[in-house]
Amino acid sequence: MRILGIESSCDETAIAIVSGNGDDLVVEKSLIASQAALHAKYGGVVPEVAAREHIDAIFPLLLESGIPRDGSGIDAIAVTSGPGLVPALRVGVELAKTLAWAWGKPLVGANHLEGHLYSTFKAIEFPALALLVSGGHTEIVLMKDHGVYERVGATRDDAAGEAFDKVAKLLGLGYPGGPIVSKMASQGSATAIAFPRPMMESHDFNFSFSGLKTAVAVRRRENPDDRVEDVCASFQAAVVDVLVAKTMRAVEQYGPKCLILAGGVSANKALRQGLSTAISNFQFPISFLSPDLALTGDNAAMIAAAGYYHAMRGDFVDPLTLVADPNMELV
Amino acid sequence: MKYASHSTIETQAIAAQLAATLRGGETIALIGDLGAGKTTFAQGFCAALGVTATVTSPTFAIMNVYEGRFRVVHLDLYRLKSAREIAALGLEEYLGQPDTVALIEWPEAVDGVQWNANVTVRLSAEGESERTIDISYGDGGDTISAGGEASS
Repeated sequence: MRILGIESSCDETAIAIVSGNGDDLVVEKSLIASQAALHAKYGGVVPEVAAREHIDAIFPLLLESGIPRDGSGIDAIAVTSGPGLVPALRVGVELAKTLAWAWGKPLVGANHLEGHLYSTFKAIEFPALALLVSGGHTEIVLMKDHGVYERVGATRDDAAGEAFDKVAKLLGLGYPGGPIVSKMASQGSATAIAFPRPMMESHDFNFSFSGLKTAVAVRRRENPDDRVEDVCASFQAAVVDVLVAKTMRAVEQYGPKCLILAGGVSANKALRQGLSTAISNFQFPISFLSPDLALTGDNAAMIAAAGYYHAMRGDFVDPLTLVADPNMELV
Repeated sequence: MKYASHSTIETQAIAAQLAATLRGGETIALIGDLGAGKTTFAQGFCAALGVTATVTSPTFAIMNVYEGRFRVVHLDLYRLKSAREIAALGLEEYLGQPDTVALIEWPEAVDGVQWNANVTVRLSAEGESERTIDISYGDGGDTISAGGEASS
């Protein structure tokens, strides 16, 4: 089965083709509008971080994908229908509805977060536990089966990726913050500054990163001579410590067969290493799945993958009535 | 009117007092540096309006919409750069509607956009947990009293 995936929920406009056979999924094509090669196609304009100009990017991407005009070779279409910003979501949703209607193909309305759960392109054994960390989300999700999810914890204020971005801003390092803070951290001491580990002692699986950001701001004001590398390393250690500790506590409680680390922040080396080490030291064997670096951020391949499992269940939506849902819940 | 807050709970109580004065249709500008307490203020504000959902930072999403006694549009312009991007948000559906109040973080982030806020809230960090919260009508002219622990 070949699935066309479409994603436009936030900053990235993306189109992908994924083919699936049983649990073997292959990314045939994954196109993202911020790719340099595509910029020329819409006037050389690099999309501003939140430019809602998905409309300018989405047709060039569709052409680039090489799908025949009549949609032949595509068995189903999957589109992110939420959560996200309505004007952004609508671009992908309306394109998907139009194509599904014109081509007479079945349509899946996929949840953006569900896409991240499927971004590893490896067979998921259930029950699975997923730590989903990005600029907009930080949550722990229990996957009981395909399509059967339970959110067991989430951030109560800032997402982990947002904390990286804002600390980068406080330190004058630019945007996006994740890669640069991580790079500086590799040259600093993680124990130089004892930043708080927010909510480490709480008996739930929720997170809070707003206070940690404030602690960095206060520290910066009072100790302007700290080495930036040490601030980054100590901050990153605090984030990783909390994410790993809470996730492992959830692992103990839910006894999953596999642990998935996904989302933009899953590209962070310290987090990947910290979590994979904790998993391999765990008393029971658990497989650790994380996406290729190219699929950590928002993309359409993961939406096609999530859509594939919907399609296998025959879980389709009517192209005439699908609407973008900004607050779409995963469960 | 200036308030001194010594904790997140006090900040949320001051936000709740402001929320109690609203009649619907207001736009509130929320100004303060990173770590000044804007999200904390927004949480107290939304809770007072009967929002039961978890109120998180809208920085990444740009806009979150909550349902309470009023619909609360929580907007964050931190990542935006141009008026065109704001136009693409479709805010005309929300701003000024009698069933809606809008809370705008970083209203000053995009040059040349006039928000004509009904209320302006300025937060600043004075220490680890001490915050000064300055609430004024409009762009900072007449001050209002929302009660509570006025410090000046």
